Amino acid sequence: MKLTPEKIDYIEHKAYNIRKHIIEACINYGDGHAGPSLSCTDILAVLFIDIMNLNINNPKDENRDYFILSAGHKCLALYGALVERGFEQATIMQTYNQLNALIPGHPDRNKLRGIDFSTGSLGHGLSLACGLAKGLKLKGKHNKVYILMGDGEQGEGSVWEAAGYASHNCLDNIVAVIDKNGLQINGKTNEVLKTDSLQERYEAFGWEVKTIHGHYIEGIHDALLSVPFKEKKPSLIIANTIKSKGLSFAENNVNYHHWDPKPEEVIQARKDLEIIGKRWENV
Amino acid sequence: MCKANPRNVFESTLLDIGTINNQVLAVSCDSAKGAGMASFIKSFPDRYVEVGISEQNAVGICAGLAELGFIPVIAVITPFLTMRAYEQVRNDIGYANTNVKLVGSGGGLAYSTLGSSHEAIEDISVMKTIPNMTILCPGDGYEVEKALRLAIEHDGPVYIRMPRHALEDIKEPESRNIVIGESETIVNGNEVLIIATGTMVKEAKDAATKLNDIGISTRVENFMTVKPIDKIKLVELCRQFKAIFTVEEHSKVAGLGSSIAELLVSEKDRTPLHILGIEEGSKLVGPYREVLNEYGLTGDKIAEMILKTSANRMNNPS
Repeated sequence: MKLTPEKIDYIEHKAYNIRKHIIEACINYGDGHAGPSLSCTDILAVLFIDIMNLNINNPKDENRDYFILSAGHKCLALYGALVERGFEQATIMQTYNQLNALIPGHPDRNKLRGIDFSTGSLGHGLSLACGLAKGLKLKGKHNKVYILMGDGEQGEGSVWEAAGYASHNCLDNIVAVIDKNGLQINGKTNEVLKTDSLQERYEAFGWEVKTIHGHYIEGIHDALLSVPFKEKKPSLIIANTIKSKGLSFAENNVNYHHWDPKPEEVIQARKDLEIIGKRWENV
Repeated sequence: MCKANPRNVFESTLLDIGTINNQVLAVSCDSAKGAGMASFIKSFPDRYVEVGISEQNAVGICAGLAELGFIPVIAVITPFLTMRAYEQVRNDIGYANTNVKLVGSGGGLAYSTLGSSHEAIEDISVMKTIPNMTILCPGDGYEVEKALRLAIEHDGPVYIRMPRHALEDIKEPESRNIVIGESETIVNGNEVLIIATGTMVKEAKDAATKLNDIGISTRVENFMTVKPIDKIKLVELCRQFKAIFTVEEHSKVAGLGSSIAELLVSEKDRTPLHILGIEEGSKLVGPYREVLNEYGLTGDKIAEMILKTSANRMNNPS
């Protein structure tokens, strides 16, 4: 169903809250993967708030949709999304990276409920998604398997092993999203290892691909709602995003993959949040 | 004594398990036939997951399947499973504690004619560092069947190190009841203790026969389970003998012997321990028995080594 303006505003508000969780968690601990978490925030907001069938009272519900954050370093966005969906209290964000925290620098399913798979080493997620998707097909079930990968992650060979498997096995219950923010630690992704032909590559591997604007809630929603794009084919959404989206001084800046907030940046980051947050002040 | 082809035993056991447990899946990396899964696949085509030649992907797929309650049994030539896909095994099977059964087809020097790419003398080393991983090294037909059945019954990751060449029964199967985590006495004796695993148990037994014949009372203890190791038995035995020898068709680096050494090093008044195995890096290629013999891993050579070591110790008691 198409989103109403009210629902769009609601999801945008949730996305704002997730950004606030990410930024405050980094400020509180003193560092964190802010840039990559902020680029995928709007995608996770749409997935967790509106698209995925989840059960906050029983995170292991057999009828739930599955989610794998293959680029595990974007986990602050996942933790924020789990908070906004109601799995956890917002206070958990203040424990990020602390001793014995449930929310370390990469998601750990043995620690936090609502995490389907622990991730951290890039290139594992699509295989896990294939296993889940194949298993669901064997069981005759219709749950979907959502996976979010990074564009830099596409350099991992194991991604392509799994990409071939998914199409060969007609796994149209897989919905992959690539958060294409165009940057990785060492520079522009296209300069480190070209990813500008991702659509063609996945199409050649037998996937059905759509490219969207990754910060436009309605567009993200429309794309996620129209899966599978083609019957018997896995779906990929390439979402063009901005790294560090929401931090004015850091947007599209390669130096903020891992943010180590300086005092003046903390002040600016909170100003940025305040300006955007005014919209919901009286909500 | 019966001589069994390990692959045939594995194949018939997997088929039998498949009829009893409909959650069991056979996962193949173009390895189904070679690994002994063909009969299962013929009987249960819907429970056959062919991944193709992509071991890293296959291990991840197994983790995903296990999350849904399936019990994936993945059988692949050992180095490709345990080393190429090591990180997937570590993260997605071990740390994630998923109920996946990893079968290394051809442990040790099983593929001795194919060179170091196919030999697996480091697989125990890498698998034993993985949390939650149980390691079973069967050494005859009885143990191959038992290892697979025990692995399926066990809730959690298991690595089975499959032998490849025909194996004589170590003991009458009717007299045995091997379980995970407990060693088994094969030969009784009170001077020398040989601790062996997998294919080396039969060789150790042959060595013990020779030693017992010449008056050196030798006990053989079978550690089919390399992890979790039978600590209770080891501590109990470590002061009762004049010498302890460990034997494995594996590198001396970080295998069974080193696990035992790590465990016993802090025990007071323990018996000296000697690790028999392969020096770092397999260098020989050739027929299996001949290569084993070159590495000193046949009954005769093990007995010789024990005699030589004992003689040296008598001449240099300090």
